[in-house]
Amino acid sequence: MAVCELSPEDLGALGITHGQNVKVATETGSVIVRAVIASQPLPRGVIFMPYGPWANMLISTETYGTGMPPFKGIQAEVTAAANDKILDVKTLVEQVTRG
Amino acid sequence: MTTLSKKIISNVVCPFCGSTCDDLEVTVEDGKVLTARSGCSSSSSKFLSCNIERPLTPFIRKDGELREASYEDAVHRSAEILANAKYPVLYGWGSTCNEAVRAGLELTEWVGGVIDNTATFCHGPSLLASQEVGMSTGTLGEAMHQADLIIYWGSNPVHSHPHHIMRYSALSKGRFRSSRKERRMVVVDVRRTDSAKLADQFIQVTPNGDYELLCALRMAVRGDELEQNVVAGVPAERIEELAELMISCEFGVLFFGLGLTASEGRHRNVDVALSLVRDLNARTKFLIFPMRGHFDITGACQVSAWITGFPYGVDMSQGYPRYNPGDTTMIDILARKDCDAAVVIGADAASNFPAKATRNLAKIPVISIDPHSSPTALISEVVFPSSFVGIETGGVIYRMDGVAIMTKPVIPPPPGVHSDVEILQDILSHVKKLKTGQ
Repeated sequence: MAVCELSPEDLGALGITHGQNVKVATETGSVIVRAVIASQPLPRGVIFMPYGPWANMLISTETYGTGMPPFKGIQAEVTAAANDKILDVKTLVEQVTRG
Repeated sequence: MTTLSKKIISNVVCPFCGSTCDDLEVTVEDGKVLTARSGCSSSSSKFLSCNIERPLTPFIRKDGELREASYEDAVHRSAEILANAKYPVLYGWGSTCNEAVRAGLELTEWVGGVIDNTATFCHGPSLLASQEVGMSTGTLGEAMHQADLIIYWGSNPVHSHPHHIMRYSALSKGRFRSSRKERRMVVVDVRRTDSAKLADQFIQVTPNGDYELLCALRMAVRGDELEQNVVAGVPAERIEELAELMISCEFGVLFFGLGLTASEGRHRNVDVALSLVRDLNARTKFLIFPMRGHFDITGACQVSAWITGFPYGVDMSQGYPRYNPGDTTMIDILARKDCDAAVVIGADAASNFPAKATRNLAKIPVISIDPHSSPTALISEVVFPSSFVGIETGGVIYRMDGVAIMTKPVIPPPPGVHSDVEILQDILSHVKKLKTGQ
């Protein structure tokens, strides 16, 4: 689940290779995950992350009066982070709860 | 080799997704599941992995550490937490049964808290939209037997509901449509999903462009001229072609997923999809269905609605049910740090909530009721292992179209592991004693 799927064109444009660690950042937060070529083709400029603890680092609690946080269609920036480590789920939850 | 203790159980209901396929064949021996056939890989994995990473005793946090505890102590501690809380939230309910939801509603009323379910950030926006404009819907049987046009919009059932296409839509063998050749399938999504690969047409919408595209499609169905050449990344002529396909079908079905409810517009996206289908019913027959996710999330909403009048986000703190999504819903309550205790049941909050909500959840006492050890258990004050509904415990669940189905447990739960209903009723019984002093 700690992955970010991109199109091969976006991977190339960012100078990232399949399997390399990247930092994904939004207005809300950031997380280190593994960049992979999308298993289901993505258009350029669009990334996909599976729902779970890593993606939730990037999601705001603003629900705009509906109860539903913005899980899709949010702006994000992807940068290479080859030397940064992906946290396992236990460490990630501990980091989150420590604030 | 077949032994006397080996048993094959047919027509078992799958407790994985909202499709609740009821044609599984499960082989059990000596209280263990050997095989689960006829279902998807997620279904078989759910049955075969039910005893992996599974706590068998309750835990209570003492001196910062979760320590094994007796069932009675865990019930007493949970009742104390809830009885003393000013504004507790009881959240989850998507992966349990209707009887547990009913017990949870009574418990919420006694502790004066909020009961919210996983629909709040799944198809909650669909419920909001249906409250405003209504929903032209039916049962999956009607889709299976009659539909000659199937549209999946913002939904990837090959992965989210793996047997949905085969049992209920394009690939199903219906009474009046018996083969794939007699049906057209269209997928609308931001990416060419594996479901799109099975479709006759794939329409790629730009992220957050669903509202515009649905509005344009609605205009085309009504015969209005589109002023733009391209809407949400889709050429006007393709929109007009799709409108013609929808008008000219004999029986159409639109299944929609979180692509509509979780992107910009949320309930407004669904509002226009429901209105589109209402318009289409002036020209042909058309149904619309939300692709409900957890296997009993429809039941959680329906039970809540027929007891309190509201499907999710129900606040009982004033002694009567109030409903105001965006205010009485779990994420909003946690973001404001309003609640002072929580029950999480049939869901894994710490894995699924935005980080800030999980952080605030970890600051209050949490009672977690779950068959597996989960990230939510890591931040809990009390942890109850519970039995699996549909595998070890029976109960009624509602399929995504609202059809009630009785589950068919195949093995007994491990010794000492209680069902969700038993745990909730025992906590409720102690809460009543604490609240009344009897």
